Amino acid sequence: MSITELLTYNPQEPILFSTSLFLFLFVVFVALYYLLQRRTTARLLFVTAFSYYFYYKSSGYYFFLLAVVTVSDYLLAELIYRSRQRRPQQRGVRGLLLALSLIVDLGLLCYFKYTNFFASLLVPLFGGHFEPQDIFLPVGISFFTFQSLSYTIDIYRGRLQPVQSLLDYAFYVSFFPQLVAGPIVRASDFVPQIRKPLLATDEMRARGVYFILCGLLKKCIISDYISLNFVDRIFDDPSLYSGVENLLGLYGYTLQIYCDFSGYSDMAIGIALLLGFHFPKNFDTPYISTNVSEFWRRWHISFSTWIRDYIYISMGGNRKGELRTHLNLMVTMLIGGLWHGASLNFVAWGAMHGVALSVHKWFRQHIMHHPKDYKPHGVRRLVATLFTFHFIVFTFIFFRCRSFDTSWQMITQIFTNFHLELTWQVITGYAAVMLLIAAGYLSHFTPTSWQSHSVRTLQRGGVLLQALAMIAAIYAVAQFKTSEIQPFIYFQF
Amino acid sequence: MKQNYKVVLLAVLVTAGALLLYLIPPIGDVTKRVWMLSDLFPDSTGRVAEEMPGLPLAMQPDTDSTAVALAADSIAADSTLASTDGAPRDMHNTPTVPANLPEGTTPILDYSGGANGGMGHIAGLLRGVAKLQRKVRIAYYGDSFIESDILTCDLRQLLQDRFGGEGIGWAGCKLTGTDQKPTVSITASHIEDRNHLNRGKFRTSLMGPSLRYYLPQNGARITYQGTAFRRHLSQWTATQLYVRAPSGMTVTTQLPSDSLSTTHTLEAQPGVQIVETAGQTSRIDYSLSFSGSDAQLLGVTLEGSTGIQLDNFGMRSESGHSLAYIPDDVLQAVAAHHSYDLIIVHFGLNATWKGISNAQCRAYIDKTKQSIQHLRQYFPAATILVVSVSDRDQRDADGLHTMDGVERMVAHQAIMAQELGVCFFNLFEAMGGRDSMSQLVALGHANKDYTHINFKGGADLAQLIFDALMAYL
Repeated sequence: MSITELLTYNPQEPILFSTSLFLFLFVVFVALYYLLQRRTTARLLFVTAFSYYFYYKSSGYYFFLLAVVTVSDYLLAELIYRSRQRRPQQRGVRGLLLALSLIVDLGLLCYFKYTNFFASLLVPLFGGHFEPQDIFLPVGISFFTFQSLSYTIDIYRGRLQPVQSLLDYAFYVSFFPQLVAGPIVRASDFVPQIRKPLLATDEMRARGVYFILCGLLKKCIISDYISLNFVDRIFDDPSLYSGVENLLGLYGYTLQIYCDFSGYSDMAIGIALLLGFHFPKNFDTPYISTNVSEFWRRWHISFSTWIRDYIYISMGGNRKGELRTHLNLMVTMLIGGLWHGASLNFVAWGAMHGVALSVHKWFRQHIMHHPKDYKPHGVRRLVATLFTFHFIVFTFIFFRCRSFDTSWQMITQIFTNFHLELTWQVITGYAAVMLLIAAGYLSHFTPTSWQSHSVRTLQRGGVLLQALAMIAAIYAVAQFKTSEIQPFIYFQF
Repeated sequence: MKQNYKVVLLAVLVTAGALLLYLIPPIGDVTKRVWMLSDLFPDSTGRVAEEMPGLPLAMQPDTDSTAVALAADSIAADSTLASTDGAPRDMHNTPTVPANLPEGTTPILDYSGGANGGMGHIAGLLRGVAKLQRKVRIAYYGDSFIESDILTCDLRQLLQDRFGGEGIGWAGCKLTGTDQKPTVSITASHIEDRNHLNRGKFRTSLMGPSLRYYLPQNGARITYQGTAFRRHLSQWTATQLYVRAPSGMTVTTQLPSDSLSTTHTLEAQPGVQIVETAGQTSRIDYSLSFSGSDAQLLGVTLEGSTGIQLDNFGMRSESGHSLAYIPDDVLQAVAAHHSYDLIIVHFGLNATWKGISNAQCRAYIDKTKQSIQHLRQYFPAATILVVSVSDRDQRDADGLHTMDGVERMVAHQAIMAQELGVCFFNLFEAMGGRDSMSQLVALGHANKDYTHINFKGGADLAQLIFDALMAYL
């Protein structure tokens, strides 16, 4: 591959934090970034240009969408703010401007992500034959449209001042660490940091390295290895495997999606820290939750708080009576499900979570009479955690399977063709996979003091220890990335 | 501000250290050399040049029909590759291919020289299928590659679309973890299945043509129902149950169209007995009544009266060597009632591993030859088609590529066909050659073990085999 091919858009080779290309680009980037530390505008321009290049590497010339969303929301937010300043009582104009922002952002999102989905549902209703359109899905469009919407909605609600310039706004929307896979950073959290004096303290650097190490371990070692060598093949055709293999595959996927998602978030948070920016926490050991409400306070926090603040509360939240509260919860989670992917499977996944949240809320209020922050202890806690975990695991069947038929096959295999006697054979046959799965789940139970202790150790060890730790992680990742694919194992039925 | 530059220092140290990782030598097969610039400058250190002296890598007879012969000559000169079966080899036998091969079609190479085992038999039957008063039967033997009727269900459909025929053909007596077919619905009670994966419980001397057998209890019931998974599978007109009942057995059959059930009494005798039921149906129910515990079921056939019948004999983890042990009484019974016109032998995945040597491939094909010769004793006129191992990819430092050993096995399978004087289809080449399995995975047509196809991939490959067969008509 020539250097030109390496640096230009290739749909098969998006730039990821775990690639060697990113490492080489980042070392040049970070040197120039800190050379420009006293020249704020030049630095913002440089970072924005790099972010657009980062997006171009993933989505080609569709980076213009990023510019469209940025410019339109910047202008509309400015107009909304001025309207509020000049005519505070005239809410109609501001409402129209906000609607325009929603139309632009959600219109783009709907066109690129949901055209085929909605057409496949609607066309047959009118007797037509649906042929899917070849529509490119720009990477991260769900993230940056939601991120940008939070800005216009907060300005509309009077909770935020507009940014100083279009450059500041473009910097915020395109900031590459969170651009393609989140977390969804709110303008209210990020904008105040843009023009502050640039400072990455020793503690921030140590924490950044810690998060990057965690991310590499989760994403590139645990998630990638178990998906390639076990999980994907089970989900490709559950009927070929016994119930016990299906169940272990399902446990594996539940860990894989957590490691994949939170691992990438961790790397984004770590890289942002190295650049002097703080991102909010996005995952907080979600599988130790004792109920589904707690799960959503620990799982993809930037997304769950976004849909809470901008969908659930916008519909009235819990302010319009009990029935409406449950309806709002349900609608919010249906939209939340659809956000994850354009398929009825994701809608079903969202619906299950909506029902569970609603049932839990009602049960807590009317049967158990527990306060909102009630936490069970002892055996109750264990039972509640196991129950919640298995509910989450069950719903992931519908999240991961490509069709309801496949979901049903998996459920059938688990409940009617289990073959308990195979358990030990499967575990020993896929020993490396099972060890990684076990390690991933056990990491949920490590004391939080370990994290601060690790960060302090990295901080005390200085740049040298941090570099050595990173190099060791790169070596480990490279070994796992090039490890041989584990062949199928045929178990004795 | 000074702290900011430590980030730059950190990035420089990490990058430099990552590049220096190249200096850490690989430890056997446990670790690999890390080369961060592999995209730009592929690492050739330690890579052994691929050498397969004399093996027929290029097996396109229309471009170089002597390639196999020349290659085979050099293998013959290699004492490590000597035949273990002692059979004389006709190393100068060059294959024939269809005269008008459509562009892009990988040909079936016919090494028979016009004798039995060649394409002449099946091609002649297919050309005159409309006038035949019987079915054209095809047995497709394979490993997990065709499990669940993958590939074969599409090949059957393509053939039945063109030449007529109905029914799935051979089916087991119970759906099990190792034998799940969406192409037929089977509900069974009081029946245990046996195959070579049931170590300690399986007796080779009892197995049927599908390399399985079933142990019924008195009162066992089985119901077969057609499906719409592929065309022509929902109905059939003739049903045969293959049974061993040394102590006798009463088999009651019921078709939905008949108000009364039919009772068949099987005499107490050794050997395979067949319960035949005529009549178009989409469902059949069996109930078995017998004393003793020595009865075995071998399977059923659900088939039409004319056209094509294609039986899937997929057995996971099978190398093809078990075919040599199919009992004589089974093959005699099958040959008498159910004779095959084309036998496809598609194995090798379970005998190919990274770094396999010529001698190991030779030993493998010598045993496989015994399997094929065993079948030919009972189906002497049948066309025998050896389908090569497919592409199988494995990961190395440069990414996913064809596993070292696959092409060596393909070459030896071609030589095996040549030595036996039968036909050969290079599936590896037909599906795109090197790295083609990765391409199927990228399309969602194969599993992420980079070894097995799914139903979409099966449809792709079935079309390739179908086109190669049709080129002879």
